[in-house]
Amino acid sequence: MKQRLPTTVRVTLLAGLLALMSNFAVVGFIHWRTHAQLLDALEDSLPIAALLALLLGLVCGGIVAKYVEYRIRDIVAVADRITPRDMSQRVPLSGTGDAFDRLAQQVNAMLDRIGALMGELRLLTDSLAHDLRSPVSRLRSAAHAAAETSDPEEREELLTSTIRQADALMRILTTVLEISRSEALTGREQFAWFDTTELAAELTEMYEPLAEERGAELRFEPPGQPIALFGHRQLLAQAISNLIENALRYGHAGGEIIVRVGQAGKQALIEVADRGPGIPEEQRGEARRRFGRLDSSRSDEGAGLGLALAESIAHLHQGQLVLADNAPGLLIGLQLPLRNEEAPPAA
Amino acid sequence: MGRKILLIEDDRETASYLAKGLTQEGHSVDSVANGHDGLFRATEGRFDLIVLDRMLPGMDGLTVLKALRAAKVATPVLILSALASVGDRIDGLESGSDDYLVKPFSFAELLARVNALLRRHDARPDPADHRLTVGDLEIDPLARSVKRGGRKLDLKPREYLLLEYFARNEGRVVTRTMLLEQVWDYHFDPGTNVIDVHVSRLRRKLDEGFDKPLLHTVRGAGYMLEA
Repeated sequence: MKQRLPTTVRVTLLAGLLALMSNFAVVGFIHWRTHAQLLDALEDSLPIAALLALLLGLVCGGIVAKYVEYRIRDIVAVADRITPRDMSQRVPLSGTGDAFDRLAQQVNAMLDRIGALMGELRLLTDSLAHDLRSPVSRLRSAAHAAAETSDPEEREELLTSTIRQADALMRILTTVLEISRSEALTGREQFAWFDTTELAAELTEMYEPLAEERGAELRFEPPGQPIALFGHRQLLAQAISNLIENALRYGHAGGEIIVRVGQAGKQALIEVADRGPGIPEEQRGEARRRFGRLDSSRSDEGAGLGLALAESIAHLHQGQLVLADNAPGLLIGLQLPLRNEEAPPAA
Repeated sequence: MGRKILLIEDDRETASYLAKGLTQEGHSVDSVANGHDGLFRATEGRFDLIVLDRMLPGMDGLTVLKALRAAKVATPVLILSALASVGDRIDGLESGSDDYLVKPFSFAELLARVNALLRRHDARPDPADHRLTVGDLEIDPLARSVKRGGRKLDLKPREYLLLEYFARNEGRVVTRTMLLEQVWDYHFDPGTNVIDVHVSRLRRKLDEGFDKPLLHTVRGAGYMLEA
């Protein structure tokens, strides 16, 4: 492809060429005159030269203005056509790679990002509305049945169930809120230094009796050395407990669940590995989505928000949630960057 | 025994529901609907407990609380809030409140916390200086040892902490959330019955082989240790 010169250089060259031509015309017109006549002629030609320069300026300015308007018009037109319903418009590129193209590329990239965010938001709103329908309708029918029944014992049971369902709904809403707050990086002011190993060990101990009751063995594998992390201890506790609860819910078929803390380079790793059925690679994206529950026929305790919350808490710490094959089983890990440059204060 | 409770809550429905419930429990309740009045009443009058809504018109709950603490009013404060995230709870506790309860809550949960706060405020002997007894149960906080009917019980460290917390709230309902917050110091809401499993393990060690159970389940509310 032919490399074209940038616009500014082209316009400058054109202007220079025009100026040169007009000078030749003036000189050509006067070259046969005598010296005295030459001075007169120069005096006479000054207004002409000034006029020509003015014309030239007007022409060049006009060209530049036209060109700028032509390029900006594309961007303005796209901005005008973008509506919440149609985010597909993009600014065409001239292919020269000039400043206008760079602006257009930035505008297009921004539109891509907005589009992706809006898509995610729409998906979230849709699934929130969709996933709240069934608990709300269960709640409604329990309340309705309680109002209908004449048996006081049954009524009390139904009312207790109504309260439980309402609590479950509240929990879903709180979690959704917690996710968006973490994604918006709220809560960093509560960051502090703490020992990751101690936290993971404590949570393992907390869940160990529940695991035993469910027929699984929950074990903790400590790292060689203590790993200090600068983060939100309470939120990370919640993230780790979500991973453990996830393993208890879906992975206890195989019996053994291991909670592991380690360090890889500049990252702390907190992993929960189970021996359950695992998640095939192509479904792992779905598993971490909000309300993404792989087996939609199960209407048990989880609302499918646990991993999404764990991931958003990882994001709050500039880390990530990774799903991997435990061969067999599922391995879920939080990878959180250590801040080595800032040593933890001596305790 | 009735106590004086100041209720600072702008939502009239919630306020009258709480005032009615607490009055039925034998407490006398003064109710105000905004932060300025609340602060004035709290600094003027003598109350055993302040129940403070976090979101108030004019002066919000946390500002009221900070002003109270700055004025050296040490009355225990229970914050009520619709802000449920872990960060909000931590904020609420760190601002000088004694407890934080997220809306919506059951009256049983509120009452359990009110009672725990009132009790904690009355009797504040050095926790280690004498033994706790509940019926034939004897707890030595210094040695962290537990005996029932003269026989030593072998408890894991966390089971001991659970039992000690129950014993310090003898005869009062303790909810699951209170246990998670006080015994484990976690402020999230687990989606499983993880706390109940710990309580039933403790109960097995505590009550098995004895005629009279000490650890009771209170339906719809939580647990209670009572002889």
